[in-house]
Amino acid sequence: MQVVKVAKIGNSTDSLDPNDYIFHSSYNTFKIVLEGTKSVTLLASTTNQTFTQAHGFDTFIPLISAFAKRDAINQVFLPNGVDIETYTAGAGFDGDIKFNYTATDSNNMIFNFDNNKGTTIGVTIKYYLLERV
Amino acid sequence: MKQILKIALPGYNAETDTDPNHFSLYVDQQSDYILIKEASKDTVSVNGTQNIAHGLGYVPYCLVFAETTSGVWRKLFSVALDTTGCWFEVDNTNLVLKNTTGSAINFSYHVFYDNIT
Repeated sequence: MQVVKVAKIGNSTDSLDPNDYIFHSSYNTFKIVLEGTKSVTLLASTTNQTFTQAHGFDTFIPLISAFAKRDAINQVFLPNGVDIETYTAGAGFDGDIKFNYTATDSNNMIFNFDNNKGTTIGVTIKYYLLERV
Repeated sequence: MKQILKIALPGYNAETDTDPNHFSLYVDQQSDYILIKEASKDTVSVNGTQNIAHGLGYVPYCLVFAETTSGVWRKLFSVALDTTGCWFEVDNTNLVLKNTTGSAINFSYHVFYDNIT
């Protein structure tokens, strides 16, 4: 069998451990089929806000990975997580913006947020679509 | 001498461009651009807890999605804040799929060779 492989420096190309390679043609490497950003505005004091965007793939449902960042704030936060604004030892963290989940269906990317602040909040979502579910 | 293997995306010059985002493949032996290597994948129906033995002997990188409604696949993390009642855990032996909803749900899982510990 013909293979193309590039070992990490210090490792032999005879190694049988896939972790010793940067690239090995015997193993599927996940492909990013689409990436981009989507800007949304979260309504004030509203939970369960869903935003969608067509992904354009007609023949399969792609995997999705996404990150969110509030406008004018540099930190990013993941789905199933909150945007931590303050942290106090003992009291824990406080975050009013929650990125509930990201999902895909046959047509769309789906992003869901809570905004427990009394003002609208601008959020930019960075998304990556990978191979089929 | 570093061994370099690069394949540029259309419109970019593989000999002069240095931005990894402009390549479908960019490997130089030094930087691991998360070229995750797939070990196994499957879709299973889960009701409760289901162990998937991965056989790697270390904690591998995994991606798991749940079909929360028909045709809609949601990315899962650890214990859910998102009220799905679904999450996953992974250790040296198993990928553990959790569904606490009381009804069977389809899980799509991907286990990679990449050791995350």
